[in-house]
Amino acid sequence: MNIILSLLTLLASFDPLESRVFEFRLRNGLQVIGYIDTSAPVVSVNVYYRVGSYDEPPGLTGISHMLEHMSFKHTDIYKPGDFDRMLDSVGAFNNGFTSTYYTGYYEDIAREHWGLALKLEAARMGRCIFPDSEFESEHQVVAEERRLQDNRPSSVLWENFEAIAWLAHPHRNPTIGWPDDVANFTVEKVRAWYQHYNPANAVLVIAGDIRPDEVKTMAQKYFGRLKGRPINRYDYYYFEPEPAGERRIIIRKRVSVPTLLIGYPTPGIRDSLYFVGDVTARILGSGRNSRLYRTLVLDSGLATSVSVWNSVEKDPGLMYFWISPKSETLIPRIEHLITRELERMKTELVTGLELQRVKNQTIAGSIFERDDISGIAYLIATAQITTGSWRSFLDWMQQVEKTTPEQIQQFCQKYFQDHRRIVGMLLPEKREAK
Amino acid sequence: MKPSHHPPLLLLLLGVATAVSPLFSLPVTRDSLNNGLIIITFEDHRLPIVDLALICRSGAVFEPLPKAGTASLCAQMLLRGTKNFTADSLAALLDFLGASYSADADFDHSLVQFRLLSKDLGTGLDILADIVLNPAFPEPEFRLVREEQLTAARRAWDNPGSLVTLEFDRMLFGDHRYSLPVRGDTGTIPQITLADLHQFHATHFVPNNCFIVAVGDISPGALKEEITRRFAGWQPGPVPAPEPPALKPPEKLRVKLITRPDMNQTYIQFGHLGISVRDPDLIPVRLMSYILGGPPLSSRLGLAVREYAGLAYDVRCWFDRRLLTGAFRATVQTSKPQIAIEKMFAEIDRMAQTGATPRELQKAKNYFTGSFPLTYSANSGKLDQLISFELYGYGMDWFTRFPVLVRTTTLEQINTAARNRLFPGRYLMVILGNITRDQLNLPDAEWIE
Repeated sequence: MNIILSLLTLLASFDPLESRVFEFRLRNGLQVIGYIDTSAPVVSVNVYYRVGSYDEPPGLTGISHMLEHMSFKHTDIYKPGDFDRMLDSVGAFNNGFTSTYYTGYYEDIAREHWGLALKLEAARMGRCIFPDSEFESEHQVVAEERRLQDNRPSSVLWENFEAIAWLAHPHRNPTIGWPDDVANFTVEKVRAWYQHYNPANAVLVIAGDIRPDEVKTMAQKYFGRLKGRPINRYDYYYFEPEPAGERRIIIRKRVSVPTLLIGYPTPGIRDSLYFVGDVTARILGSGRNSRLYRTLVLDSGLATSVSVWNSVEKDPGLMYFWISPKSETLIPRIEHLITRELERMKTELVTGLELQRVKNQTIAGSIFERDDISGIAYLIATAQITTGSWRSFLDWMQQVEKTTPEQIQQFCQKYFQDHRRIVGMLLPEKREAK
Repeated sequence: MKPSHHPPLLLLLLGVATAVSPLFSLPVTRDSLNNGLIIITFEDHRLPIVDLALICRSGAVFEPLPKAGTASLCAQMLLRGTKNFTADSLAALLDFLGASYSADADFDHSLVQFRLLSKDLGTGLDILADIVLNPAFPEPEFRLVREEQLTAARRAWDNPGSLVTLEFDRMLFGDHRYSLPVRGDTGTIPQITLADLHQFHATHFVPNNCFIVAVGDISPGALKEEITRRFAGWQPGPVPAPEPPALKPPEKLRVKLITRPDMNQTYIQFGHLGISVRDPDLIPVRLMSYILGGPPLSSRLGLAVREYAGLAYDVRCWFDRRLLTGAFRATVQTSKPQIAIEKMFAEIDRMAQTGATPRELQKAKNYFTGSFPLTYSANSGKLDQLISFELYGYGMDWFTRFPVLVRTTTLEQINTAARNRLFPGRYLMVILGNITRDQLNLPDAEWIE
């Protein structure tokens, strides 16, 4: 524990993150968070909306992503291509992305131009128009993007795996949408969905060479007049029923190397053990000294790579085990060894050394993340959107620090049960006998 | 999301000034030891972290084609045990420090890289010296790493995006080392032996062929002392020069078609030989290439294929960034290959024949010079850029020279670059998808089975 405390103390004494952050809210409900880092004359402007595939009803999967594409086109004062032309002309990097819980846009831009980013994002927030004439070609672009998923074998595995892992929760839907939903998008559907993109449903995070007074002035200037309309997000937290039994999917494609993907549902952020999932995943499958790498790659030689991670942003998620078996025939033995290792986690406490290693990696990693203002802006924005407070990622670090071997054991006993397992395999096509 | 267009050229956008730069005063130093080992530092005390790398100026181009993958395996094996550490104890130590670390090769260099808390810099330097000077190349680890590499090579053939690149490189570069991936291919990786790794290390990892870059919470003077203490005894040696590819563009379009009935989209890559990063036309070529096929929402290819016609999510072209002559490549994935190909051909023709407009050039210049501070803010970016400036011989004053070179590039230089560096109609092309020859109208093409 001494080393971990010293790392946290080191970070706190060096530069407490809280001292660099300020926040306020506009009357229309827009949450604004600033992060001051004056070491380089650059600013990262980020607008995140509380809307994503999580919010999409049946028949509209992928609509947030479709709208994200359309939001780079017309507003009341800008025509298609203006966003990129204007931002490219000042050397800014910009993009947008759609995720399960949020849709985000960012501009990384030289300090003297960050007002331009705010101006454009304000136009995107309140004043997008979606002309019929712009829809068809962008709809085709999205359809082509959808096809890219179909042609990458690992994407096919991933998409199918998520779909069987979740019976009811919207995690089962791909962010890009199911093919038939994508094919049936209309511009009217996009226009209707635009109600989510308003100040009361958004967070503005500005990181870099900024001052609080100028952020307040500029935020009010560009976003202050927009109307906010709170959107009640449906709460799917408890939506997924407890699994009744193991689920499996086997996909055969033109691949030469098999892939084994295993998942176990893990708790979301309302569960007191949620932070234990990340520590457990690292002990099991992060790096050479992790238990499963040693078992499957070094000791038994059945696989060439192992990676384990826990994916929880808000609602319950999954712990994923991504294995590269040396051959298809070895998969039963690999599954047996994984189960054996998980059973061991339930009956024996992890060692102090392996727990300390994981804690050190977590704390050091959190310091490394602050190297990049875009990265810190992302952490702040996603924490704010998914948990309601940007401080939650700091709290998470504190919780990780306090994790005990007993908590890990309790976590494993509760969540690593055979009937909760989801197994996906991507295997080479079987050749017909001549 | 738009397809990311942070292109290789971004690394070129950044230079660094020496401490005496008239325009910028950046805390950059470049020094060397008597044995030729160069030390480059960039002080940045925002955070208690250090990015540390040792770069060997020899990469995959120095290995024989039948043993492609040797340089990569050699670099990876540096982290798999020394005379003082086993692979396990090395990983245990680094993991316990919370460090991130990697070692690999590219075509033009090999690299070992650490990110550490600055309190651990001494330990990091100890490890760096040990793995570079005393690698043990243990046999069991070698078999393990080679097998991992072979699996990754097999996987590359499973992915249509990487498959078209593999096929295109084979067609374009023939017997040159650039014809296979840095990490080798399924046929070459099994041929590599431990003796090959020993030989590569002994020949190329000499101090006069290497440099160290450190960025972050460091003191250059103290760091030099620390490095001297660990590396001064390292003996210099002769270093060979790589062979450039002696190849010419094809006289006409040559197409390799791979029919895959299970696909609902066609993946296309075409192009010809490009330039070296040391080419005098580098900046005009990169500006021209940016205008032609840089950002997918505003480049000429992007507008014609994606924005106006909705034919693809991603379309782009670029010139490889390599020390020897690389490739000019254009890529697209589409369910309407014929129209997409015609539009791409037409845009490249138009650029070669009539060049860019003054407005396009000005926009490209603004982008190149304006994005400078962005690549400059994070330590990881500083490290990458310092490595490329040293590796490509741009010098530490590239920061001040580069924006000037961009701003003073004329339209005539751009248009000359377009005329001389693009060869419309003389492409090598790979087409992969659920499509047959009779579904494509490419009248002048020579088809390759």
